[in-house]
Formats: sequence, structure tokens, C-alpha cells
Amino acid sequence: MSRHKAQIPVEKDESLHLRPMQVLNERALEFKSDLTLTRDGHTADAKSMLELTLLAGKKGPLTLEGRGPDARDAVNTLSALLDQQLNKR
Amino acid sequence: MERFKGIGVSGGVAVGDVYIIESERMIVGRRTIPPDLVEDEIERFHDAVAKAIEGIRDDQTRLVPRLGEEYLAIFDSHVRLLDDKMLRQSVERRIREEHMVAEAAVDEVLREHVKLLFEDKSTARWVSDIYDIQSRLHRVLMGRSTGDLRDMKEPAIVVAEDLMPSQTVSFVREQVLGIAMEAGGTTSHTAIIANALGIPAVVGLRGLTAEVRAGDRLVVDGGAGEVVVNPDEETAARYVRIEKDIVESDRRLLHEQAPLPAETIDGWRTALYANIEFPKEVETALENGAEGIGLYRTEYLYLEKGREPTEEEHFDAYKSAAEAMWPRPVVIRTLDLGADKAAAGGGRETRSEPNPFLGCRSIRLCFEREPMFKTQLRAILRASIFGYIRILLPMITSLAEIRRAKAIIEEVRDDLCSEGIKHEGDVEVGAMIEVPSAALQADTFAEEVDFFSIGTNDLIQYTLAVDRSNPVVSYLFQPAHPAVIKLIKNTIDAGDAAGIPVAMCGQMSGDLSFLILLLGLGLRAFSTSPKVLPELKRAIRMVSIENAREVAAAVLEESDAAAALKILRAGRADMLQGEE
Repeated sequence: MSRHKAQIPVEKDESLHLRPMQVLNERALEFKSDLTLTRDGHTADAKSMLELTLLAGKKGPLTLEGRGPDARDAVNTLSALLDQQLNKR
Repeated sequence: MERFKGIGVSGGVAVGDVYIIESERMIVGRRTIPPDLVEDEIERFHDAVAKAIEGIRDDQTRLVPRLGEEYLAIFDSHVRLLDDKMLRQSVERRIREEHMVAEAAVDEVLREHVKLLFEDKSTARWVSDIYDIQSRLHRVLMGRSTGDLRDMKEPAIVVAEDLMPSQTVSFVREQVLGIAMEAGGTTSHTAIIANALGIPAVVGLRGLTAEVRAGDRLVVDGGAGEVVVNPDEETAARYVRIEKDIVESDRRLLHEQAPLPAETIDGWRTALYANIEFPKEVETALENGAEGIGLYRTEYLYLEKGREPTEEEHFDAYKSAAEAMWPRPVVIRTLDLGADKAAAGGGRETRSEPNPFLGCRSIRLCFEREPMFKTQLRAILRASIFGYIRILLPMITSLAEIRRAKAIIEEVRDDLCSEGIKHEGDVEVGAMIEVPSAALQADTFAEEVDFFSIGTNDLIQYTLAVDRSNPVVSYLFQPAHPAVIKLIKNTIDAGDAAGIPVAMCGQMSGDLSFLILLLGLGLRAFSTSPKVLPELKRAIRMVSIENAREVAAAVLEESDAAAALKILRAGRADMLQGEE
């Protein structure tokens, strides 16, 4: 059981559309670990698209946290994906 | 047999059986289930989710060939929202612990979520997505028809109180013979889609749904704005004949007019452009001989998704239109949402306005939400390298607005430059002339823009202070009103004096009754729905400018609309006679 964390900047608030969240959500479901995304004190389950939608109303960077057997892999993969989706890198 | 008079918004005649689409007003009572049925109820919920997802996938497959991939990404998001862990757990808990019926549980969970979404501006735009999945689940759970046309076995005439954008975009020309609707006006989404697909449609038919039931036959006469319920055989046969004649003469006209120039008898060239909604319509435009796109309405990019499109979605749409039309011009009008069209597209600021037509719409909404405006402008400038794109700014009322919009375009261009992104440096910018202040100040505006486009629907509405879709006052909507004609003349004169092109893209430009007048006033560019172009061209080829100028001079002498119309009718009769 391991725990991992990563922070992802959000350069433009308006980049938090349904699309990047949908991509994140789809990939998150492929991992065994529990995955949460936190922004400005508000936490959403990365495996729930509905919960993810609420993060667009918050401010600041996103924190991705994973707990479980594949937490390291999940956090690395998903934070890179999210960064690319949101900040077009 | 009963007749209803409404507003014809898309021409043509259709005769067929009715297909009634019920309005979405499902009320879920909070019923409970016996404890021993809990597991069955949970299973019923899971089945419903699976079926609803299947429904989305079906819609997606069906719509891709018609609308293109770019319109349909929204469906993927809806699948994710339905196949949701939180939704599943919360609904299951309510069924298991509170013995709630699945419908009520779904309703409560999603309602709470909507409440949270409404708490912030940036999340409120997704409320319509939640409503969409909610109604899909409800329909499956309650065994109701899907509300779109999947249950329609035979081609039929759609009758409804009102239609949601997601319903109208799923219309297929072969399946929907005609549309008869209680709500709506000429600028409603139903009107625009019907026009784009060439489906005869009449809207504003008060009391129709109360009189029509399944199994009835209906005539929809889009040209006359009339609907006949259960026509007798003779009447039905007459309409079938009219329908056939229209189809045949359209085909003949298209064939014979296509190779000819849009030139008057005395050799004056005019330019005929098409108004479009979707990039795919450029094909119809070209088939009908369009020399360019005079008005690309971009609202549907926003309406179809029920959210703001991404820069790439904008870009793909504009690029494909520009490439297909090259070297012909494509005039892209920036977002003209607000008023009646705003609610679905996420313009919630305008939804609650007491006076939306005088409120935050069009260019005002773009200024209000500058990041959104910039996204669209970036896409336009980027797409411009693939063809000949021009930018058209809607609802301009003052010089300051033109300057502000141009400054924003400049900023966007600088951003693109510094980011090293390919784009066209010099894109022409034009102004819609659709409010009296703009028409009166056209000479000043002409110094600031590269072209004008006269939008007659709004110009008439704002000049005469009348809402055409309000049946009580719609008689006041008079394109031939002297005040309207003077404003049009003033705009054309100002454009001529400054040497910038003036086009007209409103409904008046495709109305043959006004053709002689408009040519006489000096208008040389017309933009209409593609289907009207062959007929318009044929008419232009019968007019002499000399004669048109005389008619225009006579009309300008008149002090009321009725007298002006009389002159125009006589002028048109003369013209037709000259042909024979």
C-alpha cells in the first residue's frame, strides 16, 4: 500500500472543460488505487466525473493523490496527462 | 379539417402522418418501495444506466455522418457522467437505506449536484449536461419514448409544443417531413435547423398540440405559414401536387441557373452568397451557385454542445468551411447569442434578463466574457490561413464597440505572434448593420471597417420596436416601412461613398418582393439560405438597374408601407411580364 502525491498547475481557469476531465476520468478508472483530486480544499474522487465537474468552480492548482497498489504509476501517468490536457504542453 | 396560421420559417410543403413529441415535464413523486424489492430496484437502475448509455452511443453513431466528429465529443462526456461511481453509490444508498424508487433517487442525487454546480459561474454551464443525462435516465426508467426520433418508424411530420436543441439537431431530412410547433419565432433554433436541412416548418402555432393526436394527418405549408389538420382528400391531393411542383421546379431551376452569372439585363454584376450554420452546408451552398459564404452563424457550435466550444472545435469548423470554399470568401460572424437562443448555450447572464433583446447579447456578451470571445477569434485567425475568411461583428451600436472589438482582435493577433502560432495577419473586419444607430452612423462606421452586412430581421425589429414572433403585434413587422427603407438606403450610400462593400444577409435579401427595390437602392451583394439562390439569380437576370432605380425612387416618395408594397408588387409584375 503506497501513497503518492503530485501538484498540477492550472494556467488558465477556463481550460477546465468537460473534455480534459473526461479524459482524466477514463484513465483513472483503469487503476486500482483510490485517486483523489483536490483544489482549494475541495476534494473530488477522480473516478467520478460528476465530482470532478465541481472542481472547475474552485481556484488554484490541482493536487492529485493516490493510495493503493499502483498509486505511484497512477499519479505519474495522470498528472502528466492532466498537465498536458490543461496546459497544452 | 382545421387550419392553423403560424409563422412559416422554412419553405416547402409536406403532407404526412403526425409524430407527436411530448414536452419534457416529468414529475417524480417521491415513492418508496417495499424492502424486499430493494435489490430488484437497484438492478433496474443499473439496467437503466446501461440502456441510457446505449442510447447515447446510438445517437452518436447516427449523427456523426451528418454533423461531423467535432460536434459529437459532448456525447463522450455524457457517457462518463452517466457511468459514474458517485451517482451509482448515492442512488444505491437511497434505494437500499431509504427504499426510494430509482426515479426519485436519481432525481434527488442529480438535483443536489445541480445545486452545487449553480454555486459558481464556471460550473453552472454544465447544468444543461446534467439535465440531459437526467432526462435520459428518466425516460428509460419510466419506459417513455426517447423524446427524439428513434421511435419514429415511418417518415412523419413532427408536432411539438417546443423542441430542445438536442432534439432538433437529431432531425434527419428523410425522416422528418415537416415540423409544426407551438413555440418559437423566425430566429428560434428549430427555424434555423429546419432551414439548414430544408425541412418545411411552421412555428408559433398556438393551441395546435391540443387539437392534434397520434394518427392524424397534417399538411405543413412552410411558405404560407399554414398547417391543415386532417385535410380532406381534395385538399391533401392539392398540397401533394404543390409539393411535387416545388421539388421539380427547384431541380430544373438549379440546373438551368447554375452556369449563368448573377447579372442584370443591363450588365450589372451582383454577388450571391449563402448563409450557413454548419461547415457541412458549404456543399449545398456550392451546389446552388454561391459565390461565397456571406454569413456563417457560429451559434450552433455553442448550442449543440450546450457549453462553450474549445478553440480546436472552433478551428476545425472554420478551417473546413474556408478550405471547401476557397478561393471564395467565408464571412464568419462572431458569437451572436443572447435573447431567445442564449439559454441552451450557456449564456445564463441573459436568461434572467427582463428585456433580453435590449440586454447582454451578441457583441455585448462577447465583451462581457472576453476569454470566450478571444477563444473564437484565435480560432478564426488561425483558420484564416486555409482560405479567405472575413470577420463580421454582430449588433454593433457605436463606434466605440468597433474599436474595442478591433483592439481585442489585435491583442489576439499579438498573442498568436508571440506564441509562434501560424495565423493570418490581416483579416478583414466588417460590422453588422442591424440597429438604427448603426444605420444612421454608417458613414462614420465605414471609416473603421472593411465591409457592412445589413441584418434586416433585427434592423426591422429594433426600428419598429416589434417582436415578430408575438402574434398580437407581428403585423407591425413591416420590411417595407419607410423608416426601414431609409436606414437601408443610408447604409448602402455610406458604403458606396467610402468604397466598402455592402451585403445584406437578412431574410429580406432572399425575398423576391424586395429585390427590385434593393437593386435600385444600390445593393449588389445578397446572402440568403442556399436554397433560395437559384431563384434569386433568375430574378436578378430579369431586372434592369435603370428600371430598378425608378422603382426605388418611387418607393422612397411613399409615406407608408402599404403604398410602398403596392409599387413593389407592380414592379415585380412588370419584371415578370418582360420575361415572357
